[in-house]
Amino acid sequence: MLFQDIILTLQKFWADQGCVLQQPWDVEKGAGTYNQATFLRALGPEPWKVAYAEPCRRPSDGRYGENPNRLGAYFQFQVLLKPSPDNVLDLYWDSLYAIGIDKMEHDLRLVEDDWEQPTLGAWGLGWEVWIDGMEATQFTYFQQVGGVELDIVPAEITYGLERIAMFLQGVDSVYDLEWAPGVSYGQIRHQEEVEFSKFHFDQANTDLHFGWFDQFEAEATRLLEQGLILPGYDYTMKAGHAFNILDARGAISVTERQKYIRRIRTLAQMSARGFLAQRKELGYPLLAPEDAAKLLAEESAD
Amino acid sequence: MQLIFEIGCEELPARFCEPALAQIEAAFAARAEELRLEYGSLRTVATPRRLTLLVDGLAEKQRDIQEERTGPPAQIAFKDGEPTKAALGFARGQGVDPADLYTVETDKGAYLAANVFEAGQPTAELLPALLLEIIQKLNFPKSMRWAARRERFARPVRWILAVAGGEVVPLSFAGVTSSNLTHGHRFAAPDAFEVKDIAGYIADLKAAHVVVDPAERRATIVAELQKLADAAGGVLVADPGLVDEVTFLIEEPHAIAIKFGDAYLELPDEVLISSMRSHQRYFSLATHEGGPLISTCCVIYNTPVTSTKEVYEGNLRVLRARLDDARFFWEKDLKTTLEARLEKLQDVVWLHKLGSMFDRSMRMAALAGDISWALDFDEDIERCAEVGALLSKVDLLTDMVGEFPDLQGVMGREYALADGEEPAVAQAIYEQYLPGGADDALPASDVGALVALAEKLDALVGCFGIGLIPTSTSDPYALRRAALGVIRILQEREYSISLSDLFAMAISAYDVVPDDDSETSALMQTPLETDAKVLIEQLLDFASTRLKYQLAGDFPTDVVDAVLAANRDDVLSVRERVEALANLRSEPDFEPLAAGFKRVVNILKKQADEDAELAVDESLFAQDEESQLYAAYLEGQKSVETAVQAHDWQAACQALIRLKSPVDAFFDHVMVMAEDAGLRNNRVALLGQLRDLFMQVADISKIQVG
Repeated sequence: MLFQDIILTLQKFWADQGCVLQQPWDVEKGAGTYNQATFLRALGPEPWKVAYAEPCRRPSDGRYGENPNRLGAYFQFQVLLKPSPDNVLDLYWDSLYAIGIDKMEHDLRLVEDDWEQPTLGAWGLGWEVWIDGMEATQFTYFQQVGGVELDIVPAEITYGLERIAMFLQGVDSVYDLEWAPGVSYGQIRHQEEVEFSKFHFDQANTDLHFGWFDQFEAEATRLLEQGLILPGYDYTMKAGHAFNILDARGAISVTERQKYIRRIRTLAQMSARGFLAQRKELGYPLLAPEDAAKLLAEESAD
Repeated sequence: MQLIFEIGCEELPARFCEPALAQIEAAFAARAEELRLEYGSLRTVATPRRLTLLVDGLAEKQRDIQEERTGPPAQIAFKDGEPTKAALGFARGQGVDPADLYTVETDKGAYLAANVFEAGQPTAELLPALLLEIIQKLNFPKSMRWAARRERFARPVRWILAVAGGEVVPLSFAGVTSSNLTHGHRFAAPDAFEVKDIAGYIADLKAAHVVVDPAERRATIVAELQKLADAAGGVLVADPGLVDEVTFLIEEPHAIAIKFGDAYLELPDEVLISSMRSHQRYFSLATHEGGPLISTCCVIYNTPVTSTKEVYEGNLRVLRARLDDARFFWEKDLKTTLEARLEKLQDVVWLHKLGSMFDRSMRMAALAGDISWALDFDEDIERCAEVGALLSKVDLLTDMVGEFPDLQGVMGREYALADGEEPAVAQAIYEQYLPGGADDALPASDVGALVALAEKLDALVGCFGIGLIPTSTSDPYALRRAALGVIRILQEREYSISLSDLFAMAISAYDVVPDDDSETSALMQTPLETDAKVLIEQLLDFASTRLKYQLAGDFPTDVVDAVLAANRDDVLSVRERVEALANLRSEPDFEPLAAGFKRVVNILKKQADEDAELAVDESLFAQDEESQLYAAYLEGQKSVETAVQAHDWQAACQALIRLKSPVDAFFDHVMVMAEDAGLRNNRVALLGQLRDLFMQVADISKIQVG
């Protein structure tokens, strides 16, 4: 299946399951989880079902375009189902079938893997999904996001698109993937991998990025304090990405690393709390009106 | 009747299953006892998707109660021939007619009694609450919630099978209601089917591609792996831990061999095994036991696939990618020698306050050299140990160890060999971490043993020296293992050097010449915060506790304590002394001797230490028994000295046993606490000498007698 067709098929599949197809968020991030459609929507009592492809930047993982399996940037297909449906695993197996992976022809396995992201103050329990020994998807029931214990637990499904595509197309190098008819993955992205690896490992200006981190942090704080949650969260992500660049450059020492992670987490927690307060103020618009009214009454009684 | 109780859920972490089964079994057994429910047998089985309790021969109802119950004292039970309120209340409470009450005599007097019969309730009425409680009380290392539910479990619960005597036991948990249905293999046979009895449960699940009994699954895995190994012309590299884990990663075992190509065999075996095992859970094969790996490995998988082609190719691709990564690291790491990297260890912190890994390596090198010199090894050994110690931690900087942290030491050895270092040096870099556990292999070379000792002593002294002392629940720096390692190395390699000397050497390795030129530069500085004497005592205490536990399995604790009380510093002799003393115990004279020695010790306890140290003045002996004891003592002193020189602890103990008669005679006839100060002090001095003689072997006052 063509790389672009995998994305189309997954989008259609999840749209048919009632997911809203959002688009990637246009700020640099390391995972689809950071998109506010997941990170913020996971919070609070309102349901949400969303699916989207997300480009992810992971500076430290770059290999100058020389490693056939590792990339400094890649695509995830992200699904969030809140609350987690009882048949969520069956839906997932069906989605694999839709892209051509038959459960009686492959060894499909759920292997314990409890995901956590300290910069987001988030963690959950779940699995890696293996297809014939290859890790293809991260499946997580979030328990805490932005430092907040979740009342309604969502299921997050994150597909590793390049991995799955390589598996389906039977190629040994990601750059040999057929993205569109006659157009390879390498033709689209190889130069990008080379240049960004050089940038992340050799050229990034650490003084600038240290300065930017502090400024992003200050601005995020200022905006969040004003109740501008989405712009504030944007700057939180920018601070996170600045940190990733500094880390790839080797500019962050072991002791410093924990401090930076804490600073980003503080911003993520502020964003989370701000978002929750905002949704309450709006009266939980995504809840059925009777449920919203009931919940608001209970909350003011507390 | 039979009870089948299965909690069906999404895939549980492999390591959660057996502990959960143990809890279920214990919970049911305890509750059944409380509720007077009898049963024939009880068993638990599990796969990643189900935890099951199977009870056979469960009674249809509780055991009836037929027993006598006592109530208020008889004298307040009747008034004027009529039952009092107290009696009526008692009768009512026990559900009997007051006319059926009677009196019994107890040691406290006469009491009202009733013969009570309680018919047991039907088991079926008790099971719902009992089973629900079992689910609710299950404890997992990590648990989660799902959807909008408040309940917690290891993974979402999706069905509950609860059948007793063929009937459904009604209960519900987290919105899941029980039924008489279970599900087969997730992909091969997912549909629900009815369960009536245990035999049917097991057989029908098997037909639905679920081998529900872990023991059977495990045996099948081993058998399948064996078959594949034979077919490949090799043997399975033993890995019982992996077999245990894989048993709980699947519901039905299937096995396949993957040939990954001889080209990868240029990588060290440990690298191949780590790449295959740690993430992929593949089983390695070797040419023969202890032999090198062959380029075939085995995979255990779950689904009875229509054709194994995809499973084979998929796994091969993943494996090749991992091995390619390993080879990439290997080739990149080889571009720089260990020696060239050494300086960079200055950037790697070991422990805050104790400096970098570079500092640690330098100390280890100095210490290894000192120990070598003290043990009189030749120059080559000393040099190799110093180089080995210096390079021992450099592999922490390599990409391979970065990716596979448990290959530290292994990669150090491989890279050292590749660099052209002497084989003894390379081997020592590997052996520094031995022994890994209490029963693990020890360094097989002197060079390795020296580096291993330095590695452990440096850590023990450093941690204790800044107050990082293990507690009963926490030992994050594995200091117990380190201390036991030091002891075992000394014992096995028969290194005659005292623990206190070793600790002292390790302490001085921490001395740092200060940079400044001031007057105080003559004084060494040290990051250690504890005074050396105190530190050595603490470490000796710690080490002797390890020694004690090591010996406690084979010897009585009081014998071990007796020996350690006399000398806990000379590790080599401890076991020999303990053995000799344990043998001595069986001799008839031993107990009287021990009793006698106890008296010696008790008397001396009440005296000032100095008095016991005085020289004995033979001219002051007033009674024969004194001079006889003294003569026996001198004789014994010579014998013990000879025996100790020859490390013949049996002989030393025999020499002591011969003192039994003179000691007994002394105590029978001589009054130590004579009025005359001269006589008294002399007698105390004699006892002091005697004690010192015994203490060369053991403090037998610690032996339990009688």
